[in-house]
Amino acid sequence: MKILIVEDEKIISDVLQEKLEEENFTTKVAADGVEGLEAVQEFEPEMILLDLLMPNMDGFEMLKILKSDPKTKNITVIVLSNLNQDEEIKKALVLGAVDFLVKTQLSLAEVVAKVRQYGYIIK
Amino acid sequence: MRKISRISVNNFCVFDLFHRLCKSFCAIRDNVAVVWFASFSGTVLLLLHGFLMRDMLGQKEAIAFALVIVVSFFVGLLLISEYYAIRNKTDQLVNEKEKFRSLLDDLKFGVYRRSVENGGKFIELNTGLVELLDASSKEELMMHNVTDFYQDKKEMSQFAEKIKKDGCVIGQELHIVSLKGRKFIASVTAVLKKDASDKFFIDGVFEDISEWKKIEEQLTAEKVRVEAILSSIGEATIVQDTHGKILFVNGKAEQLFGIPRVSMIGRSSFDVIHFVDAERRELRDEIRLMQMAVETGKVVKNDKIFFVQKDKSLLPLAVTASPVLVDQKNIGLVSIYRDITQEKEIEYAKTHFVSLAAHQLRTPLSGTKWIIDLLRQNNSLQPSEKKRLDQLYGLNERLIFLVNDLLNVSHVETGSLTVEKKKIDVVHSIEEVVGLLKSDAIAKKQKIVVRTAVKKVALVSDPVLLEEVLKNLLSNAIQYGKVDSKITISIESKSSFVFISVHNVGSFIEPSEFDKIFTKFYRSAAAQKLRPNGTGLGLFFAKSVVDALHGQIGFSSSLKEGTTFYFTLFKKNA
Repeated sequence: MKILIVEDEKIISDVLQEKLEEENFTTKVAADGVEGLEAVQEFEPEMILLDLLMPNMDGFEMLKILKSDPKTKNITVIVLSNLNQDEEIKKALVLGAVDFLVKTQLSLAEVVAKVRQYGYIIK
Repeated sequence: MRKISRISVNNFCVFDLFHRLCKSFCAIRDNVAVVWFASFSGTVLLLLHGFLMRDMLGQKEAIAFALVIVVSFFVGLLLISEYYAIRNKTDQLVNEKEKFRSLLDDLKFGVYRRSVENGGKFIELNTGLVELLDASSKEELMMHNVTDFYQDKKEMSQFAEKIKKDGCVIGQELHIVSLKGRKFIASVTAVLKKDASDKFFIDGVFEDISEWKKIEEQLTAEKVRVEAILSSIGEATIVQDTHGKILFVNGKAEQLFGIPRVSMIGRSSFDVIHFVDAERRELRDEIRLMQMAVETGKVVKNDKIFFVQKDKSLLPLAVTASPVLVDQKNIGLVSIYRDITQEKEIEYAKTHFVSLAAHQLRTPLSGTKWIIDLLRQNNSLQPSEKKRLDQLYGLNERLIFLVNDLLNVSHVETGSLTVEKKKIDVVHSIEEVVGLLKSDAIAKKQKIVVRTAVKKVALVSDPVLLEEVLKNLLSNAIQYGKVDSKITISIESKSSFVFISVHNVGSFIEPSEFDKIFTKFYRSAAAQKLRPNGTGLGLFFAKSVVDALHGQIGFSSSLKEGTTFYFTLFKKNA
């Protein structure tokens, strides 16, 4: 399964990528929403792990564009952020994310488990 | 002739005798009827005497004699009836006079008639005036002039001028001094009149109004004081009657709304001052709310109203409308408006900070968490290296925990703790939390037992917040519970609510600390000993959440029984 990681914090994206590759997923990293949208076109991921607060274009904006484009609207998007206010969670879910994960609350193994859970649904 | 004269003499003697007898018999002066009757019966006797001696009288003389008797009878009757008519009239007038005199004398105010010249001599006066002017009798007062009682000679001349010009004076206030030197204020109403000989006199009514003046002065002073208090309130204050009409506006309100007081008095506040909500919609509901305050007699608060300023910009306001109750009856409304621009800015900054801090603090923490996580998975690690990494991971977890606690508290304090109600199963939520904290319990060789009579307890509440409370209570039970002991979570489902308790043995809370245990940053002596670096925020947050969910939280703790924290939640959460 091809997973696009959209995350501005390089350390986080590095760790995530390493763990997911280790688990036999194909991954690509984009540092913000703009890069993310470009990567979607070229990489054609089946799943996106999306951070919310990023420079240039934030996760909400990218999610909105993805879900308004018929070509990309079916990609499974899991929000992986450190925001956890109710309004933010609600906003992301309304925009079309399947889940809202808070980074500090999950271990890498739990992130992988979530990815597998939604990946299974895709297949 | 000789005969007649003899008889006449005889008759006169009898008549005179009878008359005298009757007169003396009727000693009562007024008893004319008796006098008349006696005289008349004497005359009849005389007639009888004449009849007996008829032989000596001629027929003509006898008829004339009889006629005289009949005429005298009727004249007497006429005189008597006239006399009685006059006497009745006189009695009536005397009675009337007495009635009015007693009526006037009983009055609490003075009534008098006085001359205009010679300093105003009293002609007539009542007892009321005698009492008011501290005289001992009417006679004593009659010896004085009206002018003797004026305190102020200027007032006296003004009074004289006015009555001369207008013919009357109504309710004139005069400063009076009584015969005993007692000073008071009187209200005088007087009319100028002329008698049959074209002489002027004055009829007047005179009342002591000192008490009224005192009450009036007190009321005025009270009114001035109340207005001064309202004016000096540091916030914009508007007083309305029960129909919403503005009765009073203080200077701050004039300043805040930029509308002069005169333009507001007598009108409804919603007509004069333009209020809208954050979306610039007219505030129909708010008018209703204010009316509610008037109708229910309860204080209504609202901090979501905006005033449209002259430049059309919105000024955020907080209003507190308090009904004015007098003897349980509502007589109006006092509204205090406060400019909350600054509070709104601070609130925004705080909420923004919470959101920013969440991201900024958690990002590096999640980075370290995952890096350590990756490193720990390396199978070629030495046991000592593995141990250090586990410690590092634990420290990082503690930091995350601390940040989460601080953020949770910020949520409570900024009011951004929103409750989202969903249908949930409490047993399931508890099992989830037990699953999360199981490893911590195992590390202390503790066993977590969930006791429930039913497999599912459904209720409407916020699942995330409920889990936060459970996490707090269970992690406390693990941390402060004895090694190798049992932790019991009990669920009791009642008809309208659910009772959840978490029990552990081990450390306990001293009774002296009972009332402080839910206070922010408070840490019990036992807790400080066992976990020196706890935040003291967990139970504060748990209580805030349970309060927000309209539940109740409490605990019991003793050395013998251990510690039980419990809380209740309504099944149909309001």
